[in-house]
Amino acid sequence: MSAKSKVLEILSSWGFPVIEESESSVVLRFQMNYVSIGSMRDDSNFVSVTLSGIFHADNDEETFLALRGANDLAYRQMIVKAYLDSDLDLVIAVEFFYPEEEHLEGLLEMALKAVVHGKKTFLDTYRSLEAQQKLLREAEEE
Amino acid sequence: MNKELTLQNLRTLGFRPVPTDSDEDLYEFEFEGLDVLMPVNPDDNCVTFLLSRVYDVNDDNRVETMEILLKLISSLKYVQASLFQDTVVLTYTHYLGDSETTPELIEHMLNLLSVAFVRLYSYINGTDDNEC
Repeated sequence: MSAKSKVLEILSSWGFPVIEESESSVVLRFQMNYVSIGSMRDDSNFVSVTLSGIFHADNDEETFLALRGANDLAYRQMIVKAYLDSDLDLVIAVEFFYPEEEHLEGLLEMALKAVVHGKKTFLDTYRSLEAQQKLLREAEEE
Repeated sequence: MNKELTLQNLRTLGFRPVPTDSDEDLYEFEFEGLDVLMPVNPDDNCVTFLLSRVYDVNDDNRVETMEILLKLISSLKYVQASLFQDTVVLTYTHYLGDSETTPELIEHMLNLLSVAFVRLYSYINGTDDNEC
């Protein structure tokens, strides 16, 4: 069975509707977040789970703080990676291989939970960095 | 409340509610690290979500916590905060009347509970900056 067919079967067993579907990816809601499961090809046991639409950097300072937040997330949380894409939107991703089909459901659930946890961690870190930056700016002004 | 419809709406939003006992009158699901409970009584025409045991209370922090709860409920619409068996419980009950739950209603309720949780801890930690 292809990775996508197996993923669709798992989502159906969880009762999760698919919102969008393309040849190699699907979009669904997980704990109210819009999550994409992609990179699914017939000839590989590879799946990527990505969460975006969380944060967009509007200027150089926000870009700098977001990169620090993404770095902090990559350092603290195993499996998860975070980056700013070419439009300066934050992407949180977990990519994994599954050796056998029976491993996919558990790995998929772990990946979905991990990107959602990564979102929370990133936003907490970003707020903290933003507060530090504000204090530094106030100190410099004095 | 139509139990099956509400469970289906929760799954539409990406939750996996499971009954906490064989009576199936209380369901539990995870929401971004929070354990949300949903009591189910088909005779009730309301829907309730609650976060239980969000903060432990003892004789040393009871008065301070009650002051914080008063501050919390006065600053937030819809969500109630109370003490139950020495822990803080956050509850949001919505009267349905003749209507039924929708994904949008559930999303609103859970977002407000999440905001209440964050704000509660910002008051407890003294980091309140009116942002949640």
